[in-house]
Amino acid sequence: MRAMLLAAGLGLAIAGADAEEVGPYPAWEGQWSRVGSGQYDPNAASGIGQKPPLIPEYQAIFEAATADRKDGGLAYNATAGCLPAGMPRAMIVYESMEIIVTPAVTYIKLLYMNELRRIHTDGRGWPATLTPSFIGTSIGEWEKGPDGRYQALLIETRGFKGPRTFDAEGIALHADNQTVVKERIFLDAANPDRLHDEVTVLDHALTRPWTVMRTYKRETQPSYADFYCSQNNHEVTLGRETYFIGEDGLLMPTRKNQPLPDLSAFGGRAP
Amino acid sequence: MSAVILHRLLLAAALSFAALAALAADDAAFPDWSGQWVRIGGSQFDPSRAPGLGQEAPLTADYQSRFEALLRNPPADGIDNSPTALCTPPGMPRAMIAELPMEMLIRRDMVLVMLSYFGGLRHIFTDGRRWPAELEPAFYGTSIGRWDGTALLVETRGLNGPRSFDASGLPLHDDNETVVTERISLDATDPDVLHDEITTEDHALARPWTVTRSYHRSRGAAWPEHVCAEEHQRIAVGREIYAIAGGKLTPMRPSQPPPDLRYFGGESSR
Repeated sequence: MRAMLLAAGLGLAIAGADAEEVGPYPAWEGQWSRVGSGQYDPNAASGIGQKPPLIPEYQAIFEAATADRKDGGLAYNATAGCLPAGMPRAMIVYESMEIIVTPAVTYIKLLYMNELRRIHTDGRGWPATLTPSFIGTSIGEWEKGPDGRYQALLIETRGFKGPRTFDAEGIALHADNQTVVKERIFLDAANPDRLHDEVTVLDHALTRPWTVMRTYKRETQPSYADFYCSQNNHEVTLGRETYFIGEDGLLMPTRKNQPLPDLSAFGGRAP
Repeated sequence: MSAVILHRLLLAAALSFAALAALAADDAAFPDWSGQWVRIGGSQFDPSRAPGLGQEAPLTADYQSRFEALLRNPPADGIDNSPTALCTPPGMPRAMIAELPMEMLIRRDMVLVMLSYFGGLRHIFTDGRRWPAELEPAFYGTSIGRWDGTALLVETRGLNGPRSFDASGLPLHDDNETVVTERISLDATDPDVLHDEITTEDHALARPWTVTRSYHRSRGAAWPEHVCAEEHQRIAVGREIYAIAGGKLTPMRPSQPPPDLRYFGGESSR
């Protein structure tokens, strides 16, 4: 019996060095798509209904952005200019995401804006300096369940650049980019084709950590379509204004009484 | 020890040994392509030849004329002549120039090529599937591969456009009926060098064009985040390409006219 138990422990330990759905790793590999809508907290109404715990300065920005939306504007939505969503917005998963689990790294490839998260699970510590990025640097740790298998991935993500917003509605993250995102990703206890991500954001734009739960469904017929913002984007951001490029290729306003783009660089030349 | 716990442990042991058996088979079958692969040579498509006309690409007469005209009269100053100048992804076969490092993940049923440049991702299916009746056009196409020993043979079809071979604007045909075949393998003597022999068949070419690109392995280096919209602040308005600098549209060539603002009515400029 002791030999059997030793074999069980040894087997798990060695299998843990593998790269695919073997050993103690949960069956996450494949393509997942969002359950719920595209606002940041899918369990609250969009826009003002999100009730983000913002400090007054960022609440004012949010309210201004909300008013701008009513006029057709796109203020405080960097993806309108094809910048990536970054974290934590990327985990809204506007398109689909593909997860690949290996012992050292769990990869989350997001189709929207082609962002790639590498979640390092090799036991590394935080380096002294991080190169800022929209998607951040992620370090994870597997959480074991009662059966000894890994049941959840705990992730911390730091090292950001901006601008980033929580969603398309203009809820801005702080311009200091000191955001810390903590996540717990796990399969649903009753439905192995549902994946949950409990996302907690600490940010100087917030009065307290903001936790939301996102859910994804497994795609049994995955699609490997392209997504390229430049192919679909008809918006251009110039300073604080976002304009539209029409089907005829000409610039158009996105809201009533929108100021003309600044053409001072053309030295008064006529179109 | 309860019977339930004992049962779970024995089940875990059985599962683990089954997994180990599969793992052993995989390890024996697949080469070690782990790490970060960094381009060797320049950014022109054939790294063994000079860029531009020096590539001596076997273009048809029509596409040779088109390429020479593009070189004589580029779309804007200071940018490349290719669709990537406006953040259209490079697509295949140009993606395998690997402007920025790439990672290759070998799975049982596919090989994933993760390209840092434009965040490109190639799925090379090695599960024995056949070509479907229809393919959804994509810049990286649809790729089916098979292992020939430790070399991966890949065929890619179903491409989208516009694409060019490299930043010079060396064109592929507008019909996007390109077929790319590749043989990817480690160097016979240096396991930290990877080769990709790329053969392109395209209606812009008079014959198939084969070039070999190579990459050297790096380990532990940071991965770049390539954001084209951040790097290339440019926009096409009508037939003109403008730069965006300091939040303003700016010309990209002397005497370039400003954009037509006819849709703005009487609003005043900021």
